Amino acid sequence: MEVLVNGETAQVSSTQLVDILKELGFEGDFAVAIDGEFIPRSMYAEQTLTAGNQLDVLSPIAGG
Amino acid sequence: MTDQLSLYGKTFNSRLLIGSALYPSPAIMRDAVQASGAEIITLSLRRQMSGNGSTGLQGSVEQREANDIWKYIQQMGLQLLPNTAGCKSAKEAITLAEMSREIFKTDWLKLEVIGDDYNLQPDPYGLIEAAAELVKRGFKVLPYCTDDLVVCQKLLDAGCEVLMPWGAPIGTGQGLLNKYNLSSIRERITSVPLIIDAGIGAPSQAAEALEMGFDAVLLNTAVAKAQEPVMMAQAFKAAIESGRLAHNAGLMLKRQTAKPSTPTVGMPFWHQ
Repeated sequence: MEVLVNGETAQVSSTQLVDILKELGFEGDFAVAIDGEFIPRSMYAEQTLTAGNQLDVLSPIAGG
Repeated sequence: MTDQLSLYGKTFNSRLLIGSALYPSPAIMRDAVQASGAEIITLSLRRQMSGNGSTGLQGSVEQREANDIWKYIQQMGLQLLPNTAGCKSAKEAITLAEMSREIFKTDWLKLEVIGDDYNLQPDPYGLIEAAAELVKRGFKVLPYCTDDLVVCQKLLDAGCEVLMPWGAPIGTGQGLLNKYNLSSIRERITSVPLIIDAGIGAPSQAAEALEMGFDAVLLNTAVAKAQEPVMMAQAFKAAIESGRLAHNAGLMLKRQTAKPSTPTVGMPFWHQ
């Protein structure tokens, strides 16, 4: 199905968040939001996505 | 005499909070932060570029640099102060705050809700709304706000225990643009620490903020964009210590007319 990953369209083969994150190769420290709602790490295993969902995967950067 | 800065129950020897952005390299960031003596460092979250899905940016220079900066920050062991830079609504800021708390494992938050892109001025309505909700959720909110006394008071009502009015817009280096407003805030709000956040361009301006009775200064660009960031970090450290000492010592009152500093008794013959 097609979802929006960090602002760009992507084809993913799974519907489970935990599998999608693996499939897309995200690594290190990151936090996730779906359609602008924070998804705690403890929810990754049971969280599912549907086509058109907007997935944001954020990581630490410098800031002022 | 101990003269420590106390924020949300934690004490700090340094009155400089420093940003981690805009340095020529991650290593210079680390060296400058260490030279500054700062014990609190700001940082942020952005979309990860190492995913191998649609982004195609795996191993990009930007992502490697971000990884290095994060690694150095972790090694320094400072109090982390994640920001919500770039958020334009309370909802965005609250979501980003929750994501930050999970990654950085701290409930400290530099809350930014920007209302105008031209001068990056905080949106007071969104800021107060977000602050109230985040305090309820257990965050220790340090709001970046304008030098508006009433906004500051509303943020206190929302439960903030530290306020961070701007000296000038972010990255301008203009210093303390509205000293009347800032001194009014300091005079009216004595129950919580006040930190000048943003707009400081020179150590003299930071010293002035401390002389005026502000408890600390948060800055980034003035150090990161100096020709010698590490040296400038030392300069700010010295200036902030100096300003605080001057405040504690008590500045003389300004006078309109001259008054001799050399004693006038026993003047030599030519005055007779």
